[in-house]
Amino acid sequence: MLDPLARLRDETAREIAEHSDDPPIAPAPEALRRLLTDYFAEREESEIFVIALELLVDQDAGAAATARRSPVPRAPAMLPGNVQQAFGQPGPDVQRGLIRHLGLTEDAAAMLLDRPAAALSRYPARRIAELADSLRASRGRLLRAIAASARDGGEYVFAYRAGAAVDQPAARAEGADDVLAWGRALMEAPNQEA
Amino acid sequence: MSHDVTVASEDETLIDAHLAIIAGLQSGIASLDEILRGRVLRMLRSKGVHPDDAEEAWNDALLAAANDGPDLQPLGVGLKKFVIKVAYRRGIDSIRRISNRPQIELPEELSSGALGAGTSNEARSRRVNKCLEAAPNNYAAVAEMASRGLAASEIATVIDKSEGNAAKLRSRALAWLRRCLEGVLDA
Repeated sequence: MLDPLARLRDETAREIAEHSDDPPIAPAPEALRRLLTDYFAEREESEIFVIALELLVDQDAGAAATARRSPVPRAPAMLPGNVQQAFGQPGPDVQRGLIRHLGLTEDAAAMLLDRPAAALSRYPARRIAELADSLRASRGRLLRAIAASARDGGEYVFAYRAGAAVDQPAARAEGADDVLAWGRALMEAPNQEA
Repeated sequence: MSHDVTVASEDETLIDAHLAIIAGLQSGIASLDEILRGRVLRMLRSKGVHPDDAEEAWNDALLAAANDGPDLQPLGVGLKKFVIKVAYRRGIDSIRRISNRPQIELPEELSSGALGAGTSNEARSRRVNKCLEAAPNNYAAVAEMASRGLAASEIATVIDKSEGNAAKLRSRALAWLRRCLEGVLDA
């Protein structure tokens, strides 16, 4: 399966070859240009157009970075939440998911529901990804909640580091790098629901 | 070879930036800013966006990335496409804002005809939509690129052909649409 850009280039190469001997075409009337401009102005960019923009931006990837800098917007402040809030789903659904995907007992799952979301990072990311997918929860939003929950007084102090397996004990994490590494595993785990 | 290494290294840096943004770390936004800011600003200026508006468009795009980062996929690439798209859209909006000023207010008796005009515009939009769906994919893509302000040299880069071939392709795409839209344009 060709990607959209490869497909566009492939179709275009064929099209150009077929029309190489065609006579020149008169310029498009202004009314057509205006009609199309107005039409596209009211619509989302297509996938191929965004790819085209990306390509054009990449064209001068080697150019030196501009010297002038402006203030960088700060990410909005986040309130830490508990495990249930991090999934954004009803408690009983999350509890059933914890039992099924993490192998917890009913009581343990009920207790975990009220723990800070950061507690999830002591479990293997793949299991949490499966759980999030089964609950139709956004993995990205989940990771944001976990990271926010692990933040303490403006500094990132992560309380947990994932054990290699569910039954292995978690260790105290060193800092943001641990949760980012765990987060990458969460985000890149295959989607079993798809 | 070295280009591939650069691209791979940029991809990894973007993934790291994306993860940091999702986690709410300021370093993610700073890193994204460092990687793409210069290139996006140059692209916007080449489209005729005023430098101050380009700066504003880029800052809006960073803010949007901070908010929407968790929902963008895949890691890194999804973030990059998103900020480029937002910055481009904000930049083009700024051009429209300037070109639309000053706005003339219609007297009430004239504005009563607005509903009819709106209906007519919707009908025209539907026709354009039908024609774009019926058009060969590359014609629809080139028509969109041209209508959103890409020059023949930029279309040439995208389709990986000469500027002359890009201009011819654009002409054929628009001629095809002109035939398909016969009647709409005359109305």
